[in-house]
Amino acid sequence: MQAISNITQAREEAVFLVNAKGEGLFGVWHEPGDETSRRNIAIVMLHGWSGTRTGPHQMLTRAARAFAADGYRVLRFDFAGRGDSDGDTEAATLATMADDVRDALQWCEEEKQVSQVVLVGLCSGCEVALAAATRNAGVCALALWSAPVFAAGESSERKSRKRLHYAKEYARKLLRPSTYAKVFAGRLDTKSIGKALSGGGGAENKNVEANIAGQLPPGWRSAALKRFEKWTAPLLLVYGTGDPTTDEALAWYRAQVQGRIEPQVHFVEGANHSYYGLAWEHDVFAITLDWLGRLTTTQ
Amino acid sequence: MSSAATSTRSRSEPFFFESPGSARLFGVWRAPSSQPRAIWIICPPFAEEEKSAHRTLVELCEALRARGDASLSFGYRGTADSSGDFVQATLALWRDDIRAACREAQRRAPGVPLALIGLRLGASLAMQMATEVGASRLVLIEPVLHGRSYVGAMSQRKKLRAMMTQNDLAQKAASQNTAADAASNANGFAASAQRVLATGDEADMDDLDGWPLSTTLRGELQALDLMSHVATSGVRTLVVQVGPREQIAPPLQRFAQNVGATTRAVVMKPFWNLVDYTRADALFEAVLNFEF
Amino acid sequence: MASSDLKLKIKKMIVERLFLDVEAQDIGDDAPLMETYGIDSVALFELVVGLEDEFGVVMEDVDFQIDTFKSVNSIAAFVQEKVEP
Repeated sequence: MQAISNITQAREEAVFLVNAKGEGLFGVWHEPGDETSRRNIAIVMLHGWSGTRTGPHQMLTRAARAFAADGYRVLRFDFAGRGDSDGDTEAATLATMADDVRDALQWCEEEKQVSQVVLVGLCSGCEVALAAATRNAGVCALALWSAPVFAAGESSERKSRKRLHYAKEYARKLLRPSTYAKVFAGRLDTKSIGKALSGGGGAENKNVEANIAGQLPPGWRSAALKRFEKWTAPLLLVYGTGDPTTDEALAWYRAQVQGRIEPQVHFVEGANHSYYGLAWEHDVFAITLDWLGRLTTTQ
Repeated sequence: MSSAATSTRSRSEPFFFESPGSARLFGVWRAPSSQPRAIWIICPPFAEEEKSAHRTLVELCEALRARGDASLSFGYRGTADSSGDFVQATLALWRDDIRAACREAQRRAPGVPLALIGLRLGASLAMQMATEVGASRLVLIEPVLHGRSYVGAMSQRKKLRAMMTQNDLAQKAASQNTAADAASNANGFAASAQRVLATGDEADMDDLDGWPLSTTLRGELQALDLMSHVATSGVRTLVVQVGPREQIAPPLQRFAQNVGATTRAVVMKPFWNLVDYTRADALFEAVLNFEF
Repeated sequence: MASSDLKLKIKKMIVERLFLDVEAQDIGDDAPLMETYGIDSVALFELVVGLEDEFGVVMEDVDFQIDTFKSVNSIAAFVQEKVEP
């Protein structure tokens, strides 16, 4: 199999942009080598919850190179609190990530004169894409790879089990003499304890809404979904058939756009959630390039 | 909104720099506001371990900057944002890249003492390069001592991932369909997985969970044997064990003795294997508190 | 090694390698490990390394079966089969 990333290097430049909170975001801008074949649409790639701009098995870098080879200008960047970017790792939420997309799109417009953008998301990057899509006029389409149900809450049973676990854990720690030493030295991480006891602190709790740093603001999910009810632009959904979340997530996305648009849906046979295989990765790129090609010719 | 040139808040700078063979390496320079006391070159781990460890290494760089040291983190060619394809990468070329990173750092802060930090395979490469690049200090976090075992472990991880995916699919099929359908679906996955699990379609390449591992690189990895190293003259070295135990494992202890290194054990999960971020305060403490 | 000793050693290995917040002896011999402790492929890898380091078990291709890791009982049976064929 010919690796799809084995292509002529486009021009790639290091990007440093500052978001509205003053945090530096790191990224890479891909410019097609041949300007005469440049497409009128740019692509902004959104990584997953605990990922970086390069993606699992370097998938986002390779995808960006494949897109650039086909004439697209591409931005990949790390959300605040992720990868190389500034920001507290534990303070990042889908909401802060969606804000970063807004700032990245503004950077594309101001620095690169980009007016139309396709957001390409992987895993939680798809949730960010959904939230950002209708807040930014320049977004003309969404390509979502392994999109989970948007900001889905955990089952109450799982939540309560986890809270019990953390409560027990901290109760145990509170009984240790070393904990008191930390309290007096001011080194106890009360923010993390608060997050844990409220059900937060990890990827499983990224969708909890609470007035606590590192959690989604109350009402954020419903507001984003309300905005998405107006989405009528093209939507590509790619899923692996070996991903146990595919059926539930796909049904959810179909329901969201039912009656407005017909999403393009493609399955990668046997693939797991992050497409950990060269053949699977190749299929995702080929599917997306084909869809993008039809998109640009219809603009 | 501002670009790197107009930002005054952050002293971090992303950029590309040259390495032999026309390679362009992506690097991030993090410097304190005053003259740095030392420059640390961060030698990253291999393939997917780099993705999992990335944020932790960035936080380590920030901790170093907070105490007045500069750092340069970078990607080897064919990895992360650096130019080239992974399938063409070799350990020899990656050692060239470490040399190039050291030159770039010294160009940015002339006369400042150079130090190397490596994680896993990056530690093994840093060990091999320390004397040549003139490093005065060396921190090796869980170095890969035996390349052959390391390649075997990567192969095991790939099989486990495939096994879990197959199980997920079989369970899903069983819950939705008849037993016959479930068996059929599971077999369908098995055929697909076989395509990905098998040696790549190209005879000289293996698909390692989406990383195209060439036979050249595999051969270099299998030949890697850090136990044959003798003391690195003049390089003060710290070997850090990360895992569940406070006792240093005998092979790592022997290696540390061979090279005249001090050892520290940090009890925490092996963060380079995890999907989610894990705080690594204990690791930073071990590295930052080590007085050379 | 007596079976109960082997199982306790396996439980201690599981608790240690996965940084679980439970006492080793509290893990049931037949408790479903995957569901109870949220074991994923990353955690399984740690267990495979543990089996190799602490029990001298070398995994062959045919050994990568989900049922092997179902419970302490199944792991113990696997170790016994490997160590005392």
